[in-house]
Amino acid sequence: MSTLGINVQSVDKSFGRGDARTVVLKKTGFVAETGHLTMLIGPSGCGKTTLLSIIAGTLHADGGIIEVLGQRLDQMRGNAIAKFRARNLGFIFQQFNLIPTLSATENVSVPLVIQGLSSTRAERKAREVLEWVGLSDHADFLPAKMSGGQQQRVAIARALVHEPPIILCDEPTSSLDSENGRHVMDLLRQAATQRECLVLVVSHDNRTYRFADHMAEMEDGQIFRTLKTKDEIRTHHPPGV
Amino acid sequence: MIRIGLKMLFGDRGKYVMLISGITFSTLLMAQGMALFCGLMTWTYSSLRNMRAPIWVTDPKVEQCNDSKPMRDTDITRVRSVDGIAWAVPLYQGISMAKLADGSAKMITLIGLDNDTLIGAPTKIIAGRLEDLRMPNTVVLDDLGVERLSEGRERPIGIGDIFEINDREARVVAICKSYRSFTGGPFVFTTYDRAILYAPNQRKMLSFILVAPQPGLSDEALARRIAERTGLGAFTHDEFKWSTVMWYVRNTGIPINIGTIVIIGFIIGAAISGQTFYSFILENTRHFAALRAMGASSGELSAMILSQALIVGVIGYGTGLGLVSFLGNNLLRLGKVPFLMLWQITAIVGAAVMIIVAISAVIGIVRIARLEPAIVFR
Amino acid sequence: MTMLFSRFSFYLALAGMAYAGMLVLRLSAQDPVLPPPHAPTTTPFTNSVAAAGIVEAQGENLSLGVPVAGLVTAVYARVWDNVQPGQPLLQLDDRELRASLIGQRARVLVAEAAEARQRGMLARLEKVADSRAIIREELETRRSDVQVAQAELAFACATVAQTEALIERLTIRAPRAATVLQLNTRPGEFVMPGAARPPMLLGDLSYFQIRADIDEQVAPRVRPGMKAVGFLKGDTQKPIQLEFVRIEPFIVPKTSLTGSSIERVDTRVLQLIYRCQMADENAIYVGQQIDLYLQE
Repeated sequence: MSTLGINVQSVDKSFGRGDARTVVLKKTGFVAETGHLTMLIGPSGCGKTTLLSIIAGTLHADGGIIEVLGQRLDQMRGNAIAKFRARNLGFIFQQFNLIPTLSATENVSVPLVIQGLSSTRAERKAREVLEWVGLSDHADFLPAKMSGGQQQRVAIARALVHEPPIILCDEPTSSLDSENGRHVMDLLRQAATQRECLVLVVSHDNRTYRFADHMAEMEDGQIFRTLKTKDEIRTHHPPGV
Repeated sequence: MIRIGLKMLFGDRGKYVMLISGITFSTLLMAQGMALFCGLMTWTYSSLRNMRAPIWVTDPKVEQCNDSKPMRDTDITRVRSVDGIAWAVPLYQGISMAKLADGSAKMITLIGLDNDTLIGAPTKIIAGRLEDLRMPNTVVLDDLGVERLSEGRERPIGIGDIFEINDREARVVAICKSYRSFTGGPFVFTTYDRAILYAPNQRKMLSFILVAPQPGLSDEALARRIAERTGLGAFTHDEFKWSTVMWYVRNTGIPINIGTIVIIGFIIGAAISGQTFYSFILENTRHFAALRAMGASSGELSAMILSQALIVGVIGYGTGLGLVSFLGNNLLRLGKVPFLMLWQITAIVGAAVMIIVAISAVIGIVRIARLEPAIVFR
Repeated sequence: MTMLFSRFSFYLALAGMAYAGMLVLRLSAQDPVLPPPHAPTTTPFTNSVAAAGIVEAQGENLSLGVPVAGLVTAVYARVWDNVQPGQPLLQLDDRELRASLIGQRARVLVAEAAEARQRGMLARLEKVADSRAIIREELETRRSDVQVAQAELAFACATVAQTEALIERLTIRAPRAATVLQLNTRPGEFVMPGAARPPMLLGDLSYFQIRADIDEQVAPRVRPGMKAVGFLKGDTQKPIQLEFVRIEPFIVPKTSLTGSSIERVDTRVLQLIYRCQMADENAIYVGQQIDLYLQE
């Protein structure tokens, strides 16, 4: 079963004022479904990160409808959005953004702590998820003691630990080698299929395109093409090119 | 969340030590300055501490206890004629020169105690007997006096040794402990009549009258009554103490000089801690932004920053206080440096430290509140 | 919070605060106000006027005077002697007077002899029966010669008596019953009338008299007959009950203790006279200072 997890209609966003004003999103529309890995691709500066930020509620759109899990984010205010995020969204960042002074387990437990769980319960849950990503033997390591791939897997565990319906990923593989990148993407796919998540990946790493269920291509602030099947994706983005 | 905040703080050992040192240094400067000031102020009223009496009667123009404007002998009977007096005895206090065996002279504070009662006599006698003061030409020397008057002698001046005060013989019969005076001269105690013989002859010699009220009458009430009936100045112990301290505050540059040290301590502390804390926040901006993106509210982030600042403040303050106490205690042993640690000082310094960390925290909080969480996606 | 307890800096700070706390406690500990080494005098009355007094003998002290300057040859009394009126106390050197007495006594003999001769000559003349044989005038002359000789004899006797009286005056006698308080002269010393230090100080010790000085500023509070207690200097705990005698009508300048020659009078004092019995012979002495409290 697939439903519309994300439904964005005619969103505008511009930065700056006067002559310095740059329009990033122009009446952009975008949808993504639960249970699929949707990939948002496009060249640098096309506005895909801005769109992701708006979907995450960390950036306010100038206008338009942003509906996530049936909630109108554009009509919610600061703390309500924060609460919504804490409950429903998992994040994976390009630079992993693990807190360097916390161990892997502690880092993973952060979203649960934000939701108000006690640290012991949060850490027990975190260990389970770390096992799922295959890092149970690194549970007490500090991020600096781990490789990039391991760090990103910790980040994935962190994004999954509170079982959010939506996981947003910003270039998750761009600072990883191909081996680790593949591993990460595998995990994300499993999250989408096994855990019934909506996984939205912003990427311009064509090595990862084959993991996508759906694909939205963006240019100059517009989604100019949406590919709905693996075949279409393979046609337009043949692997190994 | 606070736990995470503290982990972030403790994890960065270099910054943490830097932050603590800033507050410690600031606490040290401020507390040391204030303790020095308070210590110096206690020196100004050491006469009051050495000669304990409930009420001090003085010439009406006297404001502080090192000032001697003598009264007439009959003033003591006038004071005794005020109702409610349990007793009233004379006290001579004056600066004299003590001549040593080698011919050098040292300044001393000569104290003449009432012949009969020895009221105002030192309470801590280290050696000898106070009673022997009733023998002719005898004095009691304080420990500082022993140090000063022993210069040029083969062995320290002791009981039975003789020196001269204004060309008159003075024989030491006892050695006492006393509080140091602001003028720096040691205290030499003798009887009132003998003090008058020792001191340079003046028309009036009665420096102070020490008075105690009858049971059931407060010191203040009796002091007011004495002042009203006799026209003399009358202070309770505490009033005279504060009058003395305020006189020194008004008439010397001590408060300004030491106040400057304290303010510099505050500014340095605020600058170092504020700066370090700000850079700590700046360095962790990305992590705060990530936390924000993951749904932490502004209140939670503020609480995190506040608790970080608070811990830095408390630990830096405690360390600084311990350091200043250790320093002060060892200075006190030497006995040459004024140092008085009051709970008020710890409270004021604590408050100042809290202001410093509050300022630092507010700067951090403002910085984080302005943060666009979207930066984590860039 | 558990991670706080595992930090060294936390314990350092805790120790610092504890140390500072201990120092604060130690430094803020006030010295206890100890009772005076010796209990001071306190007034037994609720309202009282205080005065400084001096002990005198009853009817004030008597400074013995000498009539003339001279050498002391004998002292008949010692201190503590109770002397009766007229009892000799001092003997001044009378040798000069006694020396002149020898001549004066001889002169009496000369005068007696001269008088006897004149009287004889008159008698012989008067025995001549023939009145014509004697010139009447001659007889008159003889008679007056006898009178002159008698007058000269009387004069010589008077001179002796005068010298004897002067000798008697050199024995100084007690003017009234008293006790010798002080003896300032010894045989062989020279005394002068009006000297600052009298050769002998006498006083009646059946009572002690206390002269109390009261500052003129407090004087208006003084009433005749005020009850009083006194404390001798050096004995602050044994009050002596005093009996009012009188108020001196004349206010005198306060005699200060400094004894400087350039002294100025600061204040004047009203003097009150009290007296007390000699209770214990050794307890109270003339000249002693005494603190008084007068009941108001």
